[in-house]
Amino acid sequence: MTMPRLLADFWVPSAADLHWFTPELAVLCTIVAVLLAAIAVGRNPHITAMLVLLGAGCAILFAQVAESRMTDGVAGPAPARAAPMLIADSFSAFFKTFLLVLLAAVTGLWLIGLRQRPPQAARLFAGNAPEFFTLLLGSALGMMLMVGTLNLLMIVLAIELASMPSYAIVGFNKSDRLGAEASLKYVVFGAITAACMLYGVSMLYGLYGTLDIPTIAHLAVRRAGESPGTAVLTSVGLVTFGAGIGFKIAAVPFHFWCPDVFEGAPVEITAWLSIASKAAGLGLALRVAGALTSAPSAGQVESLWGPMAIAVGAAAAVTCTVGNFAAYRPDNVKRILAYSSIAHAGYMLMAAAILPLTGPHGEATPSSSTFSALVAYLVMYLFMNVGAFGVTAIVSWQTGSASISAFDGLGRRAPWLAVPMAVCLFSLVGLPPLGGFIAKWWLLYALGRGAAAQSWLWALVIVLVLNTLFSLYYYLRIVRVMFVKTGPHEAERPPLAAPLGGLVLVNACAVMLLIGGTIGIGPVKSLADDAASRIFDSVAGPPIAARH
Amino acid sequence: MDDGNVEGYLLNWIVFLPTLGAVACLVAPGRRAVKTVAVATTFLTLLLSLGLFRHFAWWSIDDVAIFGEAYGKQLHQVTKVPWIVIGGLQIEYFIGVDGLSFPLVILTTLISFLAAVASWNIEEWKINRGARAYFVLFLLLETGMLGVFTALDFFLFYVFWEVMLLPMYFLIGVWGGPRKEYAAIKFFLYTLAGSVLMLVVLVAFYFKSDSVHAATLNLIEYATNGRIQAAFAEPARFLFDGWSWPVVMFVFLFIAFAIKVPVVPFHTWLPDAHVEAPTPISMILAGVLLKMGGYGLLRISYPILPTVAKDPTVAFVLATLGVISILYGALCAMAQRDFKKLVAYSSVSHMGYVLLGMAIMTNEGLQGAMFQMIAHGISSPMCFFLVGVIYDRAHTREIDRLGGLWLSMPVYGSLATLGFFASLGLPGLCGFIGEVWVLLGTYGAAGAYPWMTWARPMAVIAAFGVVLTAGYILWMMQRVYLGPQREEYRTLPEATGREISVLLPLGALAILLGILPDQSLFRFMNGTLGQLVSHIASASNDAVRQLGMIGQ
Repeated sequence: MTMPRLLADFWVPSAADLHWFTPELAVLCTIVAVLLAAIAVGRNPHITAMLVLLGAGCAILFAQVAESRMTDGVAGPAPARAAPMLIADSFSAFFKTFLLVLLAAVTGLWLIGLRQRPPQAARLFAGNAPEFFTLLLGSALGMMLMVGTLNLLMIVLAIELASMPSYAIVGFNKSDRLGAEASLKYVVFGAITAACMLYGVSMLYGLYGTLDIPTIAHLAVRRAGESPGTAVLTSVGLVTFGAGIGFKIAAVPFHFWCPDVFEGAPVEITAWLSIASKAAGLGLALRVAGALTSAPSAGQVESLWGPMAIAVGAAAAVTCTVGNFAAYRPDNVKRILAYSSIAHAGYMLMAAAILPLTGPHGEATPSSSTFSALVAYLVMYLFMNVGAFGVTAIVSWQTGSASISAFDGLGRRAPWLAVPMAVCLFSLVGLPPLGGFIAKWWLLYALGRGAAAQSWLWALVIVLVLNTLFSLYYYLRIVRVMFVKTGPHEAERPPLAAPLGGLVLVNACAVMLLIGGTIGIGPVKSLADDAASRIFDSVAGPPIAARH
Repeated sequence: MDDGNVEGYLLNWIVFLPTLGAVACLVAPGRRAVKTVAVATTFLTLLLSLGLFRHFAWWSIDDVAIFGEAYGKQLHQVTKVPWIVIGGLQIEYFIGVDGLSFPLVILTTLISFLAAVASWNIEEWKINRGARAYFVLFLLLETGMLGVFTALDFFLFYVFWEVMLLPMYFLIGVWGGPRKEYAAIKFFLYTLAGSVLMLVVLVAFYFKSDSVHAATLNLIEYATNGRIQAAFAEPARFLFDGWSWPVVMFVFLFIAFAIKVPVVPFHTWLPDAHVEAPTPISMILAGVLLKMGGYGLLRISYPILPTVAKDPTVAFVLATLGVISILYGALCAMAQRDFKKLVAYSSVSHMGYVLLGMAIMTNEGLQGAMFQMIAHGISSPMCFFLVGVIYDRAHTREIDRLGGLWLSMPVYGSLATLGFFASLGLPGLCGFIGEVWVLLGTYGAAGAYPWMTWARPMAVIAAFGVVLTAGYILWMMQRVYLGPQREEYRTLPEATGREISVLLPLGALAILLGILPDQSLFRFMNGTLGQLVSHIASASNDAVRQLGMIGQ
């Protein structure tokens, strides 16, 4: 290969292409800025945090600007426009904004922690701020990429980029044994599932000669009848590939890392992981499921992808049930919330089981109600979890323990913490008139709509509502300890001094949940519909030559 | 009708004034101000609800003008505006009253007011902190209850139904008796179990109506629209092969409402919740919350799924459960040593008549069931308050340790006799009319539905409930109120003015409803109930066959 030849074949994205990916570039620049600032002006945690917030704000701005200029799902940089490596559409724009808002919230929590933590830990965190935020931003970048691609290799890359910094940041407090153990468990699990995922990718590539998922779907449909071996190998490839996604969202049976990691990680990172990795993983899962099943020749859709939908639905049902029942035992609130997030991931995964289908009036309906159901759920989930973890953070920093007994009598000791916590917990159960109920409602709506054509989805509906019931008990345990339980030790518990920033954060979350459950139902849904309105459609037409 | 229809704002004020009162309680300065605001709010709501009477002017016997020509045709004080309109989904804020809901709205506002007066002595309770929180939750509960009785959009109904759960959990769990935590969480879990099944039905109804008509959540529409009715009655497959869609929906709804009524296999939350709750909350639980089960059946199950209700097996099962509730509740009450638990089980027994009356689907049956609901809603809070008065003074509820209280507190004793005789069903008092209507209706049910051959024997068996009821109430009265005066109760203070002011209205109503049942209650409901009966009777008879799940 001579140099001129190489340069001639070398493909460079144009400026127009890169316009759609300015948020990611902004995050990259923030990482660089954080690291350089540490050298230039010295290691100052507040400067670092400000830079991060500034960068996140710019990235959000870029994402919104890019979205407003979008007319269609846009294919991103790729030499072959039809098989892009990156995608920018309204769905991924929502996720970018979502992740960056969450990043800002986590940064806020971290800033509160600087003063609230026990002094040794606070010094560690304050002194290593650039490293902390580099890891966090790296993880955020990976997650942003996760929801913006339909290319197998890019998916693997994005998942690894999201996971590796997480492994490190979970064990950030090096003197904490529990954190180190959590980090190790996370690494081992992540490595195994990454290996599975790559195995699946290699199998699919070997079968179909392309890394582009819509093309694979196309070819799979065309070659479905060729030999039974093809179907088996495709399924094996898809299932092992799904291990990687399942790991990120902590779906059963890839969830075992979740409770230990959440318990051992610093509480802001637990909040980050519980929301961001689920969101990114579910967005990816939904996108992949949608792409796989929207290949033309609709007549074969059900026979080919029907079993896949049922498998995903079953996995979702098992996940939420296991998550809910497992939450009965632990006494550590972080662990309880970890299992609760597994359960919620299970609920959201049900959305992936609803395929594009023939609507009740005969025409094919886009599955946009499914995508928008997920978006609406995530919006509410963000507030519920940030609020719950925020209160847990403050209580655990003040009392030194995150077990349920730390919340004893919180209703009297710190009512401005206890009431938002109760609101967030009841919202997590899914009780009206709170936002969590509306989240479940839109999911039920999407399921019911799908069930008109695929009646087995009613089983998922019943599983969803029954799990709502099962989950009540463990959320109520915490509420009970805060308000209801009367005991002799009550008198000795001193009042809890909560920092103003923390109070503002959690109360804002509670207010958003109250609004979201009552007057905000319409706005949230239209936001969600908007995000689901322009999804990058898979390529229709004759199969694409394998060029990437 | 699609752009919204608002016939005046009275009903909206009735439903949401308690919420405004709750907000006012949050900012009121001091405990006394909080109590005053709460009592004033409930009183104002009661006055406003009396304003609904003018729609049901019974002195003009123009039934059609009041109740319309058919079920759902004439609703009063309707507010019907689009609430959430997104994509294809339209949820309306649709409230209104008709003969079914009007008496229950009045009952709710009345009992809430009396319970607020009963809560005035919150300082003397065992757990006397947090009066502000107590009254805020109390008023939010009242909004939830009023919303349930007036909502005519299924989603709105469901939201109001669930809104009641949270305040009730805290009201029982924080201010209750020794086992309050257990009772509160049992209540919450049990009721939520029913509610989530109702949620499945909600989604199913919506999408089923979508398949034949513009999708709707309008409860009246479900019952009156011919195409929707035909689609709902069709025994399509639901999930599994043997499961018929209408039957599954009916069963899910029945479980949800049966937990509230409560019907015997699902009643076990009631004794704990009623006993452990503080007196005013027991009054509300027994007086209003139990009626929601019956109201739900009459508003949702029967009008929307009449063909399932007319299935012989279904009717038989429901009637049997009613009779079992009557007898089992009465027998349990007889075995109780705890005074409050006796009254709680008597509630189970009385509500059995409600289910029996509904199961036979005749005019007498439904009228008896509704009357029994209102009558029980008057006598039961009275009984619970009577128990509460004793508990405040003697600090015990053990029947064995009480005795001769009529001698110690003559005025109270007289009112207690009135209240417990009303509960017993003495002719001339409210409890009698409902029971007799149901029993007579059951006895003659075969006239309307010839396949109800079991009705007559069942009426005879249920009549034994009357004897059992007399048994436990009279025996209890003998042990508690009669007999020699006990030394420790010689100096018990007489009922205070506040307590008499709670008992007297209830006693007066018990007498009024017993002597003038037609003018005081039947006139306001019979129109709608008659329409309901004819609606059920006329439901496509050829579709009444053994439907999938049961009987094949």
